[in-house]
Amino acid sequence: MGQVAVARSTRPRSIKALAASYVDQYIAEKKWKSLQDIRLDIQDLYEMILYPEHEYRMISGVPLGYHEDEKVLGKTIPDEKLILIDDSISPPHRDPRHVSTAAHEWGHAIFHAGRTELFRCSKRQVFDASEDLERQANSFFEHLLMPDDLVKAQFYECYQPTTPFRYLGRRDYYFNAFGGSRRLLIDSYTEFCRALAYPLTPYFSRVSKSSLGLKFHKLGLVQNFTSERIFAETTHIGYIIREMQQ
Amino acid sequence: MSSDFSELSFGEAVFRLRKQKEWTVRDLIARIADRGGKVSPAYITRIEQYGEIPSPEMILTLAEVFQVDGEKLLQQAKKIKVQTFEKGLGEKYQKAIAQFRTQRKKTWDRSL
Repeated sequence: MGQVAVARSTRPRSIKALAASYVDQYIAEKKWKSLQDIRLDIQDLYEMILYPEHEYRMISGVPLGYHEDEKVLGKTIPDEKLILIDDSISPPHRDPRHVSTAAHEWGHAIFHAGRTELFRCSKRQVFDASEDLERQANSFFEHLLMPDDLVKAQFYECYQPTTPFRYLGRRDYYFNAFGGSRRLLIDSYTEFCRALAYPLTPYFSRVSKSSLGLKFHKLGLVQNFTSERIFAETTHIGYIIREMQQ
Repeated sequence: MSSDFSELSFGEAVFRLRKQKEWTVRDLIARIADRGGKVSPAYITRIEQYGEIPSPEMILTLAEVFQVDGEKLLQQAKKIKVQTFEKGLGEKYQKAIAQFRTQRKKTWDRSL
């Protein structure tokens, strides 16, 4: 019991460090040795690390209705230690929104545990991230399911690039991944990032291609040689545009 | 003590017993390990959250750890297992009937 108390008091403060510690614990418990074995999964992470540590229950398929005229996708109730996910989202492994919503709510559950208010997260709240709390939860999602080192390693393993990928405007691009090749006509920088992310999403709990593509951009694995802004055409991911401007 | 939990599901009973003792999941695992059992945190999660019924040996070990009547806990687990089995059987029966009806309709349509 004493050990547990010490461990809690010296818990790393930063979101990135905490998420990294969970991922390390997860990989250690799975006894994975090589890079090819490592596949992050939010459901497994919940069963093996997050529930034993924090004892939040996660229930999906609950009709959450609307709040201030917006569909509520996820809800965290710190008092009852409960995470609810809306029934408009299909079960895990079918819908990338399930993964992002669940990880986002876990971010609330872990970092805002002392608060009494409950978190209702609609699409706008999650993606706009105008509030600090939402941004923290998003950051937790990013570092838990897409750790920097792992993303870089898998990217290099998959594409083996000698220089960073460059986007040079609308034209045909060749993608060589895992020994196969395909030619695609790419219209925008967003689509370029998503096409690169496509073969790698299974390694990161099947997050959406957009999330992983944005991560590539953040890590500098992809370079933009045009004046286009990433995800400019998808308005609901406005937070990305805001982050780029900062 | 376990008579209070007879109305609950097995996982809920384990959860409440653990809360009564004020143990974390890791504490419970450590105590089970002292009695020679070997379980992972994911297994406890599945018992408490997804209604998985452990083996009879594990149930007896759990009863020993929580200092409750093992026989009652076993009975409760058995009851829930039978209930879920019967529920599953009913669903399978309904599905079979539905399939039979669609098949019959198909053959009827074909004969026209």
